Amino acid sequence: MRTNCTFSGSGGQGSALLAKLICQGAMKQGLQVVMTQTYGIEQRGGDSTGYVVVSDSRIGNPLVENDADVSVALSPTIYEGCLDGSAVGGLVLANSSLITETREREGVKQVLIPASDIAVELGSVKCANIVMLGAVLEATKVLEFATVEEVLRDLMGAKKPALLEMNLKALEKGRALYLSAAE
Amino acid sequence: MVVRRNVIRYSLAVDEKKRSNLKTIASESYMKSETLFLKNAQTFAEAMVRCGVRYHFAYPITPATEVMKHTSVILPQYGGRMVQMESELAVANALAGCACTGTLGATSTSGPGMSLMQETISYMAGGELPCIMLDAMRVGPGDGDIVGAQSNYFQATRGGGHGDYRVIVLAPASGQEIVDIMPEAVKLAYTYRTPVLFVIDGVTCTMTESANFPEPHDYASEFDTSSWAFTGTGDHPKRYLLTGSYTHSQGEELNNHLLAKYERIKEEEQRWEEIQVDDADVVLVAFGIHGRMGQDLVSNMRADGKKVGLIRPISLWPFPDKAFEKLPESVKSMLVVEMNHGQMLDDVRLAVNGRLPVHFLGKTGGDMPLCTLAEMTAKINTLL
Repeated sequence: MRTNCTFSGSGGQGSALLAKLICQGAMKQGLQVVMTQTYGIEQRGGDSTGYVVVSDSRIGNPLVENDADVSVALSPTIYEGCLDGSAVGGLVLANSSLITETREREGVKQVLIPASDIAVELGSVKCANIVMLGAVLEATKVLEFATVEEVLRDLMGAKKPALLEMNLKALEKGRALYLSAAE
Repeated sequence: MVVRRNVIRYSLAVDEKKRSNLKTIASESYMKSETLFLKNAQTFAEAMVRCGVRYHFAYPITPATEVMKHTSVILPQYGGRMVQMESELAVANALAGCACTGTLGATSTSGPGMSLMQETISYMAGGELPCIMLDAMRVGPGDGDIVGAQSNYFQATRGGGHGDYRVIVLAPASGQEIVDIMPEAVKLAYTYRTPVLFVIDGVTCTMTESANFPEPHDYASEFDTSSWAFTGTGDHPKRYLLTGSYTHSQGEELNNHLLAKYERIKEEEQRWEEIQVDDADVVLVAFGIHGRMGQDLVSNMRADGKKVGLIRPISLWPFPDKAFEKLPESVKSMLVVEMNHGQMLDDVRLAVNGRLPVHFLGKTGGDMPLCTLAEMTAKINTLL
């Protein structure tokens, strides 16, 4: 079973961290994982995309070639790219706090998550990526929820307990939002 | 002046051997098997150190810089060190000096750096000196571009410098394969007393993936180098490794000796992966990233009832000619895919020797510097 993921946002929104957290979680569960980032030269503050392939067997093609099973769009500038880069039958999770104009694409399911607004409510706009991570986990079941909680604990538990608490809430909130939005 | 400086570098490396105990074993905390999530350039660094490389000489260049950044941190823990030299010329000469002492050294660079090192690599081939090298290939010629490519196949597999020589060239296609093949690379370097060159495209080098590392094992120290290495002249006459005024007959003798060694390597050290070639109509031939994409291509197309096979060369020199010797009669044509404009293509055509049409699909440079699986699949569909 192979899952292709695309995590996009503007520099600083944490799309690369989102990709890495999925990778760390996948490794904890004994899955194979490859992460590639946008080819070429990126401008500071420009768009950033992390591509992740998670699989329970050897990963041949390491690339996500306009066949993402799940795409996260954190900012409006990469929304179109996420929609076009989705596989038919794929899912796009759009940050509706910033992405106000959306369009339909046949065969692609879209769920709007106000990730930035929720993140601000929780204490920092920076955890918008973790809100999205919660939604990704609920939507795809690519990893166990508990595994990602463990990854977050490993990452920030000892040194930054307050930060951990906020991020765990963000993760849970993302899951709940996906469930209610997808209905 | 340059010569003098390089002689100093060479001497420094020899002195280093005398000063330090190279059998230093890493602290216990590092002696364990583990799964790591690293950029493949870092995986290369980690793998070579775990297999016994204790000296890494390098000069920064994209996309190989990650290797030296990683070794600069981990090598001291293994009793070794990374030395950033002032140029690739100095790197190559330090590497040669290190090898003269029988110690396994390594370097990592990209195309422009590799070109600068060629003179010394030729000397190392002539002096039969082992080392591990990485060419993290990017777009050439000249300064080219920093995006990944497979543009140095010719340079790697034809020797690269002056003279009638080859170096063993390995092309792992994933982080795990880098780890798995590194012990063999060290053994090859010492068994045949030759530089061993890894060629990995820059896309693969900058990709991050999981790899299972076995417990570290210093394979390099298992080889007896006392018959040829510089160990002081206390119990033997002066030895010559990199220099020597050959008489005409000595020149011939050296070349015949090297030739015999290369023939032995060609016979015994061809490596490749083969998938479902037995009844294939079309066989894809690709190394590195396109080779691993080929694994998926074969299973996808077979699922659609299309008889496609894969030959993925792992050793580029010696080229796996044997994989092409007994192709089944079902094979109607072959497709070579590379991140260049057709270099391994020549070796495939030589191996097939006119028996079959050999087609080509290639790309180099740009935002997407390689052929996608969709493009490869579409091309094969035109051949079925």
